Amino acid sequence: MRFNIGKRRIIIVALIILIFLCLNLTGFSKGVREFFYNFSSPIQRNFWQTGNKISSLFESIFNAQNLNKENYELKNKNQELLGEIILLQELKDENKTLRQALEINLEKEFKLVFSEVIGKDIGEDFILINKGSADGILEKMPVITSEKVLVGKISEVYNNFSKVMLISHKDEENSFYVKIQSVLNSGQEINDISIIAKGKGRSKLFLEMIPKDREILEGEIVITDVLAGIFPKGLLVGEIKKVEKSDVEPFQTAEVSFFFNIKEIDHLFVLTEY
Amino acid sequence: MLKKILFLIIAFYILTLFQTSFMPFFDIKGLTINLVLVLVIFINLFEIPEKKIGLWSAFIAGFFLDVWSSGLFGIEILAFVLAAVFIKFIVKKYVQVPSFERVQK
Repeated sequence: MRFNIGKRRIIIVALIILIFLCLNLTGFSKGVREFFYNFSSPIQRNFWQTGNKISSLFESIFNAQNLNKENYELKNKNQELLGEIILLQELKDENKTLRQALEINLEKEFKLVFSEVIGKDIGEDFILINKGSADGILEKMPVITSEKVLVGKISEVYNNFSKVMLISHKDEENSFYVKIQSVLNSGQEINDISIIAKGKGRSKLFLEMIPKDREILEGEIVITDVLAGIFPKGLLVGEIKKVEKSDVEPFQTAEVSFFFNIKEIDHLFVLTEY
Repeated sequence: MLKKILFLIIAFYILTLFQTSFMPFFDIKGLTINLVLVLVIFINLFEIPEKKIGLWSAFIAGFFLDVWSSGLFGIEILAFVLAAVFIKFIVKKYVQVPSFERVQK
C-alpha cells in the first residue's frame, strides 16, 4: 500500500514536471500569460493609476518641509538653464544656416508607437505596456519617454502587450555603450568618452571599465553612443551620481542616476524605426 | 473544498494584480513587500498541517505570480509549494500554533 502511494506521488511529480516543460518549451506559457493580461488590463490600469496618485500624495506630504529648499534650488537651476537655452538657440540658428548652406538634411525623425504603462513585474526592472505585435512592435525595440530619455528595450511581445526590460536590468546582454558629456555653462564640450553601461538590477546602472585618467564629475550627463547597438545615439540616459575609484583596480566605475522615475511614468514611446 | 479553492483563485488573482500594479509604488529602497507570499505563509502557518488548503493556496499564488513574472513558467509555483511543504513540516514537528479550526474541534 505504502509503495503504491509512493509510486503515485512520483507519477504526480513527474506529470507536473512534464506539464511545466511543455508550457515552457512549446511557448504555450505565452498564450496563458496573454490570456490573463487581456482581461486583467483594465483592473491593472486602475490599480496602477490609484497607486500612482496615492504615492504622489504621500510624497508631497513627506517632502513638504524640503519644498522651500527645493524651490530655491530649482529657481537657481532654472536661471542657469535659461542662459543655456539662449546660447543653444543661437547655436541652433547658426547650425540651421550652415545646413542650408551645405544643403544637407541630417534630421532623422523617429517612428514612434505611443503606449501606456499598466504594470510592473515583481521581478523588478520590467514593465508591462499595452501595445504589442498588433501595433508593429518587435523584440529589442528601444523604449523612451516623451523627453527622449532611454528607458529600456522590448524583451517579450504579445499580441496586445509587451514587456519592457529596463536599462537597469542585470541581464548579460543588457549592456550598451554610452558617452559621458561634460558640458560647461558656456555650452563648450570638454570631455566626450565612450564606455560600457551595465545594469545591476533594482534600478541601478553602472558605467564600467572607465580609464582612470579620465576625470569624471558627479552630475555629468550620460547619453547613448553610436556604438550603443540597438539604441540610437544621442538618447539621454542619466547623470553621474557617484564615482568609485580604487588604487587596486585598474579602472574606475560610476553609478548613474536616471532621468526618469519609473513610478511616475504613465506613458512611453516605442521606437519602431530610427 | 471546491468552493474554498474557487475562493482562493479569485483572492490570489486580485492580490497578484494588486502586487504587480499597486505595490511597486510603495517600495523601501527598491524592495516591495510581497503580500502574496505573506498570505501563503500565514495560511500555512495557521492551518492544521494535515489539511491541504495551504498547499493549494501556494500552488494558485505561484501560478498567478508566474503569469506576471518574466522568468520560466513554474518557478514561482515550485518555490511557493516547496515553501508551503517546509512550513507544514516545521509546524508539524516543532511548533504548536493555535488555530481557529483546532479550537472549533
